Amino acid sequence: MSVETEIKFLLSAPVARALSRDLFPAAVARADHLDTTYFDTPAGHLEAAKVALRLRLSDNRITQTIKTAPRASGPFSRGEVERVLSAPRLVLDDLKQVLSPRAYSHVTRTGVAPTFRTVFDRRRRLFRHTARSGAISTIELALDQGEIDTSRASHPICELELELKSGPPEGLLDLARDLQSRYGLRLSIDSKAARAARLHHGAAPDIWRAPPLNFTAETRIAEAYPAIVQACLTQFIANHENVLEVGAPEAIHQMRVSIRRLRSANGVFKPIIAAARVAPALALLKDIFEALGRVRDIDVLIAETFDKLAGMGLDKTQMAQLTPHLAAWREAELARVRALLETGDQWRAVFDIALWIETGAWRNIEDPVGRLWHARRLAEFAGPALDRRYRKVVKRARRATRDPLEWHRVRLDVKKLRYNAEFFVDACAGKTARAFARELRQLQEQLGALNDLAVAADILAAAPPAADPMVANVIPRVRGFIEGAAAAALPGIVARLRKRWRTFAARPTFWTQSRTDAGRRP
Amino acid sequence: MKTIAVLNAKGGCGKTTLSTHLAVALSRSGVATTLADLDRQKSALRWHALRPEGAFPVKAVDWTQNIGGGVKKSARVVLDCPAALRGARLEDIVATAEAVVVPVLPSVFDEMATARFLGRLARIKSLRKGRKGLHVIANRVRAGSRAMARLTEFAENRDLIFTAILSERALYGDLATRGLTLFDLNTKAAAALIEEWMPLLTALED
Repeated sequence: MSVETEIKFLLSAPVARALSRDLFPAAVARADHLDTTYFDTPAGHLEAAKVALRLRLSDNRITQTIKTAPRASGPFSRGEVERVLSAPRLVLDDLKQVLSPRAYSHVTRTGVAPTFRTVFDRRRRLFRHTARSGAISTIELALDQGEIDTSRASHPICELELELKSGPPEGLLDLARDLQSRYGLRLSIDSKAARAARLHHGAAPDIWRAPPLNFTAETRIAEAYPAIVQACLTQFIANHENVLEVGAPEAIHQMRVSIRRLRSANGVFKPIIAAARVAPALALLKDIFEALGRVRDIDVLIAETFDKLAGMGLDKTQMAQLTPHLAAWREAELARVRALLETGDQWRAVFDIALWIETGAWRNIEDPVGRLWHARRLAEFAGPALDRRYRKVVKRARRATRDPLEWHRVRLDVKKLRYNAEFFVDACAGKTARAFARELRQLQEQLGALNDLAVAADILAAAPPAADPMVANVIPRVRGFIEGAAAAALPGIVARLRKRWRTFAARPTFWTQSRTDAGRRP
Repeated sequence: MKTIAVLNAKGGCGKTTLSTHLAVALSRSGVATTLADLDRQKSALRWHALRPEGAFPVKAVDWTQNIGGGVKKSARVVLDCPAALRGARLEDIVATAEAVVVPVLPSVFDEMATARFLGRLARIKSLRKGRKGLHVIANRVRAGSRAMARLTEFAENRDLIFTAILSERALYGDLATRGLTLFDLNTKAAAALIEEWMPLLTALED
């Protein structure tokens, strides 16, 4: 299987015209008409495995191509298996290279059939680009205009693809960054196949969770840190479609998770990375993170906290009266998120971070001795990375009384420790690490119960005034109920928290494997 | 835990300077490091006793009688070995270590002694088979000097590539009298000399 490195932008018709005029003059561009049929099993095994199987007809040539989804290691890389055929007969054997043996046997047992078709005109040309560092790359630029046809619907295709043909990926990223900022392009990692499948099923854009990193005890930091950042970028870019088109609560959450993980990685590896170069990019992503956070808080209130409050005796009529007001507020906050995303500034941040990783600039810390860490095993960094934060959590939890504010601070520290520890659990393989991570997650959830009530009261305090006098009256009443319920529930929550804390603190820290004495109190 | 043995049969070739520098460099890079003194002259331990408070932490242990002990919490152990090592003791030390560092001075006597010593090391299977790193360091050299040219020829004749070439500087001696190393300094002059050490440190940590 070869790896295709490609960047795709979705275009509006005016932008496509401008690009056509500026980048594809008839003298240098070649025009092709491409007719492509995609295949899958009746049960959709290929779609489930995020694999596309297609036959493409162009210039009397038939090409079979199998493509995988972007890999965890990078948003712009896909696995590809291609072969030229003499007749339009699929060679399913090639699927062995990308499918698990089980999925492959499903496919061969049930057989595949055409699912949808794309027909488009492609104008393409080769472009030699010299990056800022002087590296030269050859890139194929392709402007595709046509449509996706499924048995149920059709959808226009209007996109620009940049495929790296030779030279370092740095050149591709650098050119993509230039074109994005010059034409205000919208980045996408959604393949034509994925879009067509969605269209066919009438489904919402996929929600992308953090891909597994699969680190082992042998993984070096030089390999691990770029993989973490690439995985975050993949998750961030991939959730755009849903956030912009649907705004599903889980997509909002997952986009937020991608930024949080990126910032968390930046914090935990801070001593051994040259982070100053990407500080503006990270600051920009932080603005998006905060805007997403406001939508997320309302989502949690409506979908989770209201249920808990109903169990505590909150009047269901009041909740029903309040929900449309909160939903309208959510829409307004979501519109703010979309406005931020539609500026396209985040794409420059994405390319800046991707270039920083690709060129190895992340390694250029001032102290040459500190650079020795890059060759070391990730597992070895777990101690320096986590020990200080762990001790801080222990100290704070030991001193915490019944004051919810103190437990709130413990929660913040536990949250940071959990996010940081996540990067090391696989590398420090073994029961100890997994048990520690599980216990940490449960502790954070328990602390979250305390926080949800506090956040619910804060959200209602910040809610916009309601035009409907009935709703306007309900807001302070519900808020009062929450504050009362929180005060009443506090002793029970704190007692449960302490129990959970003792279990957690009795666990050995997986980076030292030694038993801690942290559980003696509280 | 990773153990690095600094060895050469010849005395005065800079084993202690190399050991103390490696220990501080590793500590500065963020790993808990112990310097184990195997030499009855105890120069490394004396250097350690002079180390000022607040300097990068390096633990020192006395291994002149028995090898091992006192390194439980260390991620790296640097062994400052005595001269004239041979036979079973040399094999024991190499068996303990993951990497061996051999300093050689640009002097005809040092070159001859080092050639014999490298021959001895080549008889140890783990080094001969490349399972352990063997790093020969050109120590206290003056660029462009006749001695350096001869040392280069010595290496070429034996297909030897120096992992690092360290310049002769009075600063090394001055720092040793204060229990310090280049890696304790944050000056421009030290930074330039530290760069000479980086190929060795990178090779050891890779």
